[in-house]
Amino acid sequence: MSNLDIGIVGTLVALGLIALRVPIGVSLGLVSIGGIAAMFNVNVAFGMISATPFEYVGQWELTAAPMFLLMGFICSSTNMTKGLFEALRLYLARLPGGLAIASVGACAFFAAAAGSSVATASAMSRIAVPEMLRNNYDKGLATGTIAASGTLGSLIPPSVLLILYGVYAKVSVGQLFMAGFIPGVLSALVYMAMIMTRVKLKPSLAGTVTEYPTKEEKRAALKTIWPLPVLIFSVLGGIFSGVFSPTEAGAIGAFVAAVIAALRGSLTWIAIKSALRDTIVAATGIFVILIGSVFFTRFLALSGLPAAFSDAILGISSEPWWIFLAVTVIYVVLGMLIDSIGLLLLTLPLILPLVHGAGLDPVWFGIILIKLLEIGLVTPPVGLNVYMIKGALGNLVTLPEVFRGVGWFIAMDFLTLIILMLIPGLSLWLPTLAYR
Amino acid sequence: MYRFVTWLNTAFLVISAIFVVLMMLHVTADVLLRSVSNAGIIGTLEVVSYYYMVCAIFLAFGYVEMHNEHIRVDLFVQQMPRSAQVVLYILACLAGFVFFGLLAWQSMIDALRATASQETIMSNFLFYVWPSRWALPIGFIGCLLAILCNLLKSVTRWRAL
Amino acid sequence: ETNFIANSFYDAEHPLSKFGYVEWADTVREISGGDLNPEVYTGTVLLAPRASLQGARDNIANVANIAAVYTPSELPVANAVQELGFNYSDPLTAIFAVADFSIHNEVQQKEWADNGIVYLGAYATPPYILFCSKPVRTLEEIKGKRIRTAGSSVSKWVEEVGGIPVNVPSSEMYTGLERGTLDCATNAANDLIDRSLWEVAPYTTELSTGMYWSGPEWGFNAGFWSGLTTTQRKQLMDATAHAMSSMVVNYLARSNAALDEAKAKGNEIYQPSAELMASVEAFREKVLGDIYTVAEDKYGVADGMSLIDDFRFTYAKWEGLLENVDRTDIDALDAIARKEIYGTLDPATYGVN
Ligand code: NA
Ligand code: NA
Repeated sequence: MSNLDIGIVGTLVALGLIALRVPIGVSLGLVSIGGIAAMFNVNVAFGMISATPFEYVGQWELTAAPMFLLMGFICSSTNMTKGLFEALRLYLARLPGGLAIASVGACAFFAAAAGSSVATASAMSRIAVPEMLRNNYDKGLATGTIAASGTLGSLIPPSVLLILYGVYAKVSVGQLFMAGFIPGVLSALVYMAMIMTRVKLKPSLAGTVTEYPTKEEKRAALKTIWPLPVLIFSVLGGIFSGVFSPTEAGAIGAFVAAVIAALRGSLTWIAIKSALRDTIVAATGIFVILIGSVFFTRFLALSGLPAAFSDAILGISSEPWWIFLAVTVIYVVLGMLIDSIGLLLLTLPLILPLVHGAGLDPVWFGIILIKLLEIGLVTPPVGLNVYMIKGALGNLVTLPEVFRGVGWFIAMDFLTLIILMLIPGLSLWLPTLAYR
Repeated sequence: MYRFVTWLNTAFLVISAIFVVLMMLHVTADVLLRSVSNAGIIGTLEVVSYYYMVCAIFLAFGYVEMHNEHIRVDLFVQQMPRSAQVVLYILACLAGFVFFGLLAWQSMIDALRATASQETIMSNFLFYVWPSRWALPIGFIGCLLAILCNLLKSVTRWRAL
Repeated sequence: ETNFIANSFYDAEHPLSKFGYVEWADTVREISGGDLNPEVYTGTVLLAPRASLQGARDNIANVANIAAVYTPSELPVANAVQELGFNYSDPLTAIFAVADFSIHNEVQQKEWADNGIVYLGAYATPPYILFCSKPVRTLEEIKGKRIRTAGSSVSKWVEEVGGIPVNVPSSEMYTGLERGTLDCATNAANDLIDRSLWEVAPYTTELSTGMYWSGPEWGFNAGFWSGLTTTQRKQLMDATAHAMSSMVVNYLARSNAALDEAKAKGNEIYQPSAELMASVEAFREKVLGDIYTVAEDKYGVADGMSLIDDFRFTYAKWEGLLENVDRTDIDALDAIARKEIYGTLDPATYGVN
């Protein structure tokens, strides 16, 4: 068997193990160790084990990942998002589908504070979905809104996915953060427009909002929205003005979130414990996959599969439209099965040679890539955001209901994706503005 | 044994949490000090990445396994009959045991070697990293114990966890 | 036919990868008539910088570039000699002197052998100069500046002149300079263009804060090396002599071109003021005064004086050898290297245990 054959067989075995419920990191890691031992010898395999985990985890840039997770979990465990959502709800009550639109907006704001999509979805689902269901919203619309808007968490900075991409592809994380902003807002606006149109055409989707808030109520609600904007302003402002680096921003964000929570009197011992526990579980879960995929990357590189693969694709054409089409198909298919971080790290060694081969801007491509990965978070069968919402809501909804509701949002994601592919400036204008 | 392993891994989680909090405070203090006095805390980058980060992540491996929070794909297996699920779960445990066992073995050798050579890294000053090498074998052993517990639990109750 | 894996952790376009590995691999195939076939990996896909030594020792790569500064505790001798990096600023002399020294000095040879590698050839970077977001020409201007430094002797000098040495990964230099968390970075001049630093650091000062050469550009796994035939080892030596010459000439050309490009883009290229230069000279004297003790106390070298003096002697020898040579003539440099460095080695026994 040639090395290339071992690479192909190894990939299939890894996918098989993943499908049989072996943890993703373990599947990738074991196959890589076995595959490298088969291609070379056991020493080389042990050499990889020895050289990788400690060095990889001990990277300064990656310290941002647990810190941004911590910031997000402090926000959700101390109910920091509630005030903003209440205010949006009151102000948008008269719009068709106002509650759903308010939810998209609140998700976008939360996304600007949290580093991950799943954190965004889990935080907002507990606040927004019960409220919509109480107002007789269609279950699919209510849950789909949050599942899809949760994905803004990785596009709107800060974003763990963008950090991982930046470190791996050697692209400035600061530029990537700037680049994700407009596409994130665009996604949110497209969602909102779709919700409004659908509810206009079929008002029963949005149930019966009977609430007509008074001016006093509205003014009172305004007083409670400050925590999230203050947090976002301090994180983004600090990065922009050079007080701290994007890597340091995570720790500052977590600290500011804790201070705000303490000022509001919601930083209870229970909230601290749950935020810390959730942070560590999420971060460690991610890093197990990360270590597995770094192994897998080495295994694939040594097998020659990435080069053969990108040669095959570039052999057909190196026109950007073809690369985008090929990449879209690959990610939509794999995104059905594999979670976003695992997929990102699994495929980067295959995809980056394509990007360089076709001469695409790696910042622009990074944004397209994140958008594609985000679609995978809500597509069946494996949609982490959908599972998160189902988990948060228990028996209020069924999984098929959520997946059905998400369909419309996926269609909008493709629309946004096409716009982003056609107009690179949407992604690249802000970075060039900020970094000349 | 089950109670001991739970206690051990929870203790590791607490240590891990302490490192996460330290990471937040240390970086924040460095930034604050730097903006006030222009000079930050020397060695922030080294300590945060090579000690806090490494310890926070690796020490929690066992807790994550204990509570079955490793990220896995449930979808296909959910459709299968119960005994098939249990068999696959046992397979997954064995796979995990082999994987983390290899990691534990090799990282133990590395830690011993690093200790013997008093391992340092490039830095603007002398910076030892060998102590934090030990977080790996310790974390992996916690993880191996947790897998054993889960495996026993699953076999005795004949139920996938 | 012998296929083997060669790894350089620099990006494919970096001179140390492009000429040291990609072009070298072609030369190896050519000289051996296809009998030796290196498969080159560049970047950190296979081995990260800090893992290179271990990777070559464990045969993950059969040959790899190894920057000894990343693993000071494993390679104390190489790091002790690197302490002199602040004292020299000509990479052309350095690359051959370092290769000569590293291959012939017994203490250094023992260190390579203890780490399971065979040293075949050197690299030397151009001097690291200052890229700043504000002009830094004088002692006054350097005071209070946050300067990204790599290595301890540079950072001591920065402290001495009132600057603040900062350690950030090279990936964060750009954002650091742009956002003001850094005032200056020190790097080889080509990074001004290759890492786009000219965009955020419009003021360059051609002040040499040291150059880097520690560790082999080609460090072979000892077992793999022993398994080669004498002919193959000789072919690799010839290819390496050529690659060192080509690499250093091209690296220097690239650096100079980068300075011109930056100038054309409107950047300022300053020379340091006399007093700033004087402080560098004074610091160099101080380094020389302390170096025996540093080698012995900090790096545990048994006889610091004989090690360091051998290096300085070799460097002086190469200054003489290169005096009347055209600094851009790769073939002439190649010929000298073959004669002076590899001509003294027996391919049947060198590095073979
Ligand atoms: Na975000
Ligand atoms: Na999916």
